[in-house]
Amino acid sequence: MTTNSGRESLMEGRSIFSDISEHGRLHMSGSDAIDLLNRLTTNDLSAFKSNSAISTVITNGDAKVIDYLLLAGDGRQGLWCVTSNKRSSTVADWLDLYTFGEDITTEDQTENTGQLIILKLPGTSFSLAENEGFSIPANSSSSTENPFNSVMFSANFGQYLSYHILVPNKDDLPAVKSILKAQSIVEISTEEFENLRIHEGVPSYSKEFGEFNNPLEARLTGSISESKGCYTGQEVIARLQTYQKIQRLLMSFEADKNISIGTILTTKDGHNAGVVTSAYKNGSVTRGLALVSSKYANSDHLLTESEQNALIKLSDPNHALATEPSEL
Amino acid sequence: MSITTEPLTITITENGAKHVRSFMEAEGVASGILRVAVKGGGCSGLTYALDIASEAQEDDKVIQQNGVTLAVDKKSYIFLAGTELDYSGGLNGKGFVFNNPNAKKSCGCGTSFAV
Repeated sequence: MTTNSGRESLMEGRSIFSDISEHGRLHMSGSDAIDLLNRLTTNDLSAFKSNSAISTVITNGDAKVIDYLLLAGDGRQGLWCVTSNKRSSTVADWLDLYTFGEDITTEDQTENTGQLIILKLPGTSFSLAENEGFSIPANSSSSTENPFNSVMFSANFGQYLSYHILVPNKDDLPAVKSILKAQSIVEISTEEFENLRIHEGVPSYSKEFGEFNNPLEARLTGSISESKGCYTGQEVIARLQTYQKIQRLLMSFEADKNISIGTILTTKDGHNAGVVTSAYKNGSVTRGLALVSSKYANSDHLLTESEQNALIKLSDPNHALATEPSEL
Repeated sequence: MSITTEPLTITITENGAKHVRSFMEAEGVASGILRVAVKGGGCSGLTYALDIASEAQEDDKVIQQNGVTLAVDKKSYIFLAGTELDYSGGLNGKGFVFNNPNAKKSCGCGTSFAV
């Protein structure tokens, strides 16, 4: 049974947090670390500093997604690189493959560290400094001056503001959670967090993106620089955007029946329109995400799922609305 | 370091060597070494890198041809074995050109490649 206590708490103006330690965490150091990431990923990292946080996508030469990364400065010369669940070794191997004698050290710290994500609605009162020292200074997007030497950085999560707390020693996680709970920040379960992810349209590896598609289909455009020069996959991405040849787009949907992952969506006259990538049941309604053929990927189209004769209403994911550049 | 003339080596044409010597003289290192390397990045994943160095490094492969000494690090050598380095000049020339049999594709401008 699914619950919505997390979303209800958020709507009431409260903040919530979830343990997302299953994400991968690499620590990168060396004078060439940022330069390598800038050459291999989609976003412009040329201004990345020790107090920066930014999202970016590693793509291969065909613009297929290796992974979506969150980067946060470690307060010194290095940075933390958060990967998708179980992708840390793949990303580390990828970086190593493309390292040719540069000054870069990459350490997989996933097993030694932990990670929490705090969510809150924009405009609701939430003073970070009240949380016994957890804070991000103004004009910064990450900080390391936090309890337990943790790194705190901000990122997008649908319509919500999110703050990640990366705890360098996972044994300190319970203590960090206690601090948050003492500030009335509600902890939600992994299942609730996953439902929230789906509700907000935040794409996830192997479901909405992976080596089977490019970041444009997953609506990760906010992590792609429009002005940066060569990076791996740039030519393909630029061509897809210029000639508007993006085949599919990630859309949110609501259905009046139970729809499961992998379900094929069709138009009313029977054309194959897309596939469900994530879904959860909310009472009698299913909410989910689907990769939809671009020509049907707008709210004007009502799709169906033929076996149950379900009606599928599409909408743009909140995460895409929050992160995509205004002019596409 | 080892000097090699094995078959799948990296070669430089007479024209390429002439321009390398010209660049070295302009840099004031007439007896320098041309470091030929691969770097990660670029549209297709890998890019070529040329640099003038005063000496080779311990683990470099060193090749001497047409009056020029080339030095290649071991990892780059894997991707460059069999490559011919040439020079394309003139108004529409591309500069140094890598004819690399390992490259399965390259980007539109030719500076990046994939194996």
